[in-house]
Amino acid sequence: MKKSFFTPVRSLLFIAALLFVVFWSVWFFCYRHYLIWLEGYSFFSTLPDFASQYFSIKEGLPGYIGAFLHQFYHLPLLGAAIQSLLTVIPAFCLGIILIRLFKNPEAILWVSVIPLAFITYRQFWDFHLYYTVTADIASLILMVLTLAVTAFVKPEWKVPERMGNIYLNMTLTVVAASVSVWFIARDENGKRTHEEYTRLEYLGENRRWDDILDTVSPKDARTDELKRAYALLALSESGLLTEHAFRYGLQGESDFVFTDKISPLCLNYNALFYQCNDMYNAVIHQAYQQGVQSVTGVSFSSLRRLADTYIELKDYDLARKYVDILSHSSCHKAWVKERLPQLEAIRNVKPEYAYDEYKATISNFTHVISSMVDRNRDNRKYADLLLCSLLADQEGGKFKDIFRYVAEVQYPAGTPIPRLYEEALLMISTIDPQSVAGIRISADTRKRFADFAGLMNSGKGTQALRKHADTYWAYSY
Amino acid sequence: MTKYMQLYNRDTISKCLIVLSIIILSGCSSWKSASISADCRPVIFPDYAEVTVPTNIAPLNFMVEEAGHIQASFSHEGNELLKVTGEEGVIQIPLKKWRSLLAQAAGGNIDVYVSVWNEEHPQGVAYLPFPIHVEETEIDPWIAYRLIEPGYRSWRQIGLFQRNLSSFEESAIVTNATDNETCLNCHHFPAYSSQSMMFHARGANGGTILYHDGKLSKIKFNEIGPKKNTTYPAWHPDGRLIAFSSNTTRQTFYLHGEKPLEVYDYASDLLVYDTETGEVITDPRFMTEETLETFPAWSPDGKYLYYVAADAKNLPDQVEEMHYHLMRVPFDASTNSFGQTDTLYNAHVQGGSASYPRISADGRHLLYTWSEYGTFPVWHPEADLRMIDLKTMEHVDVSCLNDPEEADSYHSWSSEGRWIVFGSRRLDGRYTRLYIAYLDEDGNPDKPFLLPQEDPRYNLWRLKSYNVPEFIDGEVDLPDSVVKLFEQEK
Repeated sequence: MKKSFFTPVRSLLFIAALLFVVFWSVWFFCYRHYLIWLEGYSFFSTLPDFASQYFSIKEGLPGYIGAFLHQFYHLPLLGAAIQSLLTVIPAFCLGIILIRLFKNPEAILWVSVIPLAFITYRQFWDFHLYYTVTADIASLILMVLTLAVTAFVKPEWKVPERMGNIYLNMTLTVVAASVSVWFIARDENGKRTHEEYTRLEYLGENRRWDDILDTVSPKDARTDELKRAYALLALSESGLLTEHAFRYGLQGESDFVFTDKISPLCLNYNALFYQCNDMYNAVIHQAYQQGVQSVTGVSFSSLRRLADTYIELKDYDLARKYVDILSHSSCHKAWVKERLPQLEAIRNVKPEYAYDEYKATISNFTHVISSMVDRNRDNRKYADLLLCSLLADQEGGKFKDIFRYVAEVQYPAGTPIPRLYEEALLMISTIDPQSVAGIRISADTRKRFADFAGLMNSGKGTQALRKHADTYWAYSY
Repeated sequence: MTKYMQLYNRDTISKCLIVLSIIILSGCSSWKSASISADCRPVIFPDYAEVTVPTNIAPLNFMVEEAGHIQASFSHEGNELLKVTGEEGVIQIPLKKWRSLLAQAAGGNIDVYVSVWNEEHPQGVAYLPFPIHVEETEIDPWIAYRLIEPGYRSWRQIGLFQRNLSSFEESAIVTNATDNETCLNCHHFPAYSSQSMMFHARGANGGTILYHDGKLSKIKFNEIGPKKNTTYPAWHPDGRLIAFSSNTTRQTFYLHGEKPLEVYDYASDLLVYDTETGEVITDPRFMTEETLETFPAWSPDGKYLYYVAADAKNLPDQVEEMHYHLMRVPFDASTNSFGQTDTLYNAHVQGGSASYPRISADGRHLLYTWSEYGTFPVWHPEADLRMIDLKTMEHVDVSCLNDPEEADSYHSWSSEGRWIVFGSRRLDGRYTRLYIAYLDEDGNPDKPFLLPQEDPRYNLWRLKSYNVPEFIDGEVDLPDSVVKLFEQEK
């Protein structure tokens, strides 16, 4: 009788390979930025402290293995492959066990797919791969034990004939596999949102501001504070804050920086915000805080940021420390190589920490950004951040004074001023006509304001707000 | 064919034996001669040149940066006693041989001859020797300290650790590994005893953990006596009383400048806890809002309580006007009462601010940390150790202990009073590392040396700061159940 090509082992390999491809596709196409983020959130080092630290905590060996594997997630292609492989391993092991224990394992091979669902159910939120790797280790041990025992004693167990129907087996396999894939792919507990956040983080880290603005719609920004923060940062970095701040839902100074959120995503955003604005002490502060959120109290993304910030500050000792530490991981060789000349360049240089006779503190956003405006009166970005936050907080008086202060250097006589400022000044001038004295307000803005005021005064408030949406006037009403 | 095979085999075996002998011999003596002699000493890390060490210290492993092969020979009175080779520029001295070396050199010098092979000197360069002085006095065998990420508001893993000074053995006394939330701090021991210990556990299930007379207990100071939380401790030499300061501490973070933050107390008072009766002893003079008292420390005879005190100011605006004086007050342990206060160092007159007064075992010297202002010198780059001779009330020059650019702060005396251990940020300005120094009976210090590590680079790579180093007479072994006293439910 001709032997079927699909022996039990071949069938198992085929199922495992197929599942691997499916899982890989889901991870790669649905969660690629999340995979990159996982690498940044993790940390691995060959230094002795790291291993001893891991073995003293609950995550232990599985967590240590997970941390090692996470290093490779900076390439999402590889990250997706590792995630998929870790998922498939228990199924493969169980399949081998069934093949060794049963005389007719092809009738029961579908059972090997069942554990997948238990793994994929929580795999997304398994930040340290603790549960996934534990399941892998357990299944590998079971498989080895079975292979060892059955090398001496081969059981003659047999699955009843009626269960040997190929269609029944295929159906059960497909159902079990589908459930496990569904657990990964379904949008549960904000998995998709998490992927969106991590995509924004990725775009932000790569200074792809236009892509952020393409990703975050004004509607999204109005309802989601992290998306709003990224959109506002992108506007600020693109010089568009004074045009679109209210369109993207700016509501107050707290929209620029998170003050009471300790999630790594928010802390990383804060660090990025301060980095973009050259506030190095605040960058270091946020980077430390972000690292502390990781299981070992330090993460790749925080260490990379600290190293780069200290290089920027020409603080050789600390920059070198962090570069050295990162050189003891598996995937930072190129990163370190790139920084070695930078390190060499600051080796005998005095660190450049900005002096501040007023000792400005990192308290609320307005305080911090005011200090930056004070030190950098000609810096348009700082001025826009401060002025827009004052407008959002309805601080017309302060806005007027600070605008006058920066306008002397940023908007000399005759220079057009941004639309939002024109709108604000016109509105303030209804109470304080002197506020627009000497300032050139465009005819278009005056005309629009007259139209807005006309509609409001004639009781057509809704129409006015709709027609002049995204203006400071609409916001202030 | 068989004959040929035999010949072939004999020849092959002979060749193999020759090659093997060469390999073994070359392996045994990788000692080489450097082709050039430099007329200077090597730049080694840590800088162990001309330091004074006790006879029971762990090997002073060191490295030369950017070196490949490295050799060090250790001589005493002209006799070469030990040779060590290393790669990557690192010298790691075998423990047993090092101990034997120290025993032979006790009371004298070890001269260390270093040769290095690097890109600049591929044929090797031999440097002038540097001496290490071996003092006959031993040092307490263990130190306890806290390891913590250096900064800001949050933490992850905090642990109180202990290190055997004669080897590289380090172990945890207690950590927050079970919940990663509780903050452990201010550990202290009575008269260097490893048999008793106290520390604070901050968190939802926190309190002051006391291990005394073989019993574990948790004291909630906010529920007894004046209902004030306690901070910096000082265990009375008789073991019955513990003096505490009670501090309301806050932090301010700076946007610019090298100093990233300032820590200050809104309020601080002194109180004494009786471990036998459970009573809290207070003195109204040390419980006022107008004056802030902190950092208590007993004299070795237990007859004086030393502390620092400052006038309350409007904080944080006036933080730079916070200047702490050095004070002491007589204490009668039989009546639990204090006498008249005495100012040893008047910060208004002499400038600066004093922290961490610590008295030597013979009661003669008071070591403290000086900074320009405030009460948290570890974040003050200008912070230095200073010392007062309590016989003459004059300052003793201890400038060789200090780094001119980075903070030198917390310090402790050894039990026989000839050694100190102190924290310094001189390596990188942020991570506190431990330095040990010898002081003669007049208080003249020798050059301090960095706590030896198995791999000297470990001092650079460790991502935790050392905090509150204290000498102890042995290894602390707290019952495992100690964690149950403070761990928070998840």
